[in-house]
Amino acid sequence: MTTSFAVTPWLGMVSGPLAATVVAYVLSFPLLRMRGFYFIVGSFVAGEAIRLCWLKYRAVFGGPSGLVNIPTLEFAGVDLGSPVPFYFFAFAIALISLVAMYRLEKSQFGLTLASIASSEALAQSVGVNARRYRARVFVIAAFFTGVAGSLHAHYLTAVGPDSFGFAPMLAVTVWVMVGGTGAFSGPILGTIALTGLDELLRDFEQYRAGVYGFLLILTMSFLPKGLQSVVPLFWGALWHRGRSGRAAPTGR
Amino acid sequence: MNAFSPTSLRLVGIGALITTVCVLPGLVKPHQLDLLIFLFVNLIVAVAYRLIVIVGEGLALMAQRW
Repeated sequence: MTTSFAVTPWLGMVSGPLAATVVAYVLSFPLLRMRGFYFIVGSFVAGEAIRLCWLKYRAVFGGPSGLVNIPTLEFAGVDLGSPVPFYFFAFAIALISLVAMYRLEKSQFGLTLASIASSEALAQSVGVNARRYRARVFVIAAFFTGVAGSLHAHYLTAVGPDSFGFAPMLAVTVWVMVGGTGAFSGPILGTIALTGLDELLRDFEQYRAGVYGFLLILTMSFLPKGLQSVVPLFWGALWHRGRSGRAAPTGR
Repeated sequence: MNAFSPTSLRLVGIGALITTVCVLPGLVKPHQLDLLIFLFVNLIVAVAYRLIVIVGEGLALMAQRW
């Protein structure tokens, strides 16, 4: 929109998540008929189909080179195309998104989702429409992914078909698996750890896939619940240290 | 208030996070600032992906169960 119709970049920033939401809503009909392994294969195929559509429809998506010259954002006279202002902007958006998702998870809606994951038959027996809840969470997740995509596109001022292929989907899966899925902090820890690893491997690009694979095997073998399973041990030690530091009651 | 109480630890954590975020752009190299921006973007994607996982779907959950 911002490249073809010269509208304000903020409209593009808002329309990105909305477009992702609409696409996810349409895709939820075929995808959510599948379960388990079939859902995973279906979602990977959907990503690949989007990538191929991107390559085919050059007039709309720009073909292999993608959409380029996306205008940068501007807020109160500050050009958010510069790294430092955009850094604070991205942090604010990430913080708002994470808080929103945390609140969602702890809400009644989130508890219902957990009950579906725990026992779908039991949840349905008390009147929960599991398929509708799955569709809702699929669309909500797509909205936040669209927010991330908009940030990415407006910072790099370009977006190409490689953003939708197999590799980015697998990378997200690895972040979440290394961090763990049992707690909200899991994906955060996994993403921070592997982004830090990316920086360490900056001069060894050719080994990155191998290191990722090795790390994944190590995590699944020795930390099946991910890095987040280590955090309570750390906090527990700190908590007990704090309690033992308190003065013991004398009874007087 | 105990220095290690959950409330004080939370306050210290929030304070440390805000301080770190404010100070980092002045300390890191330009390419590392790019990396931090992509980290914020990636965090949204990873946590959004977990929303799918908590409903009982996704490769990450299947691999962990396996």
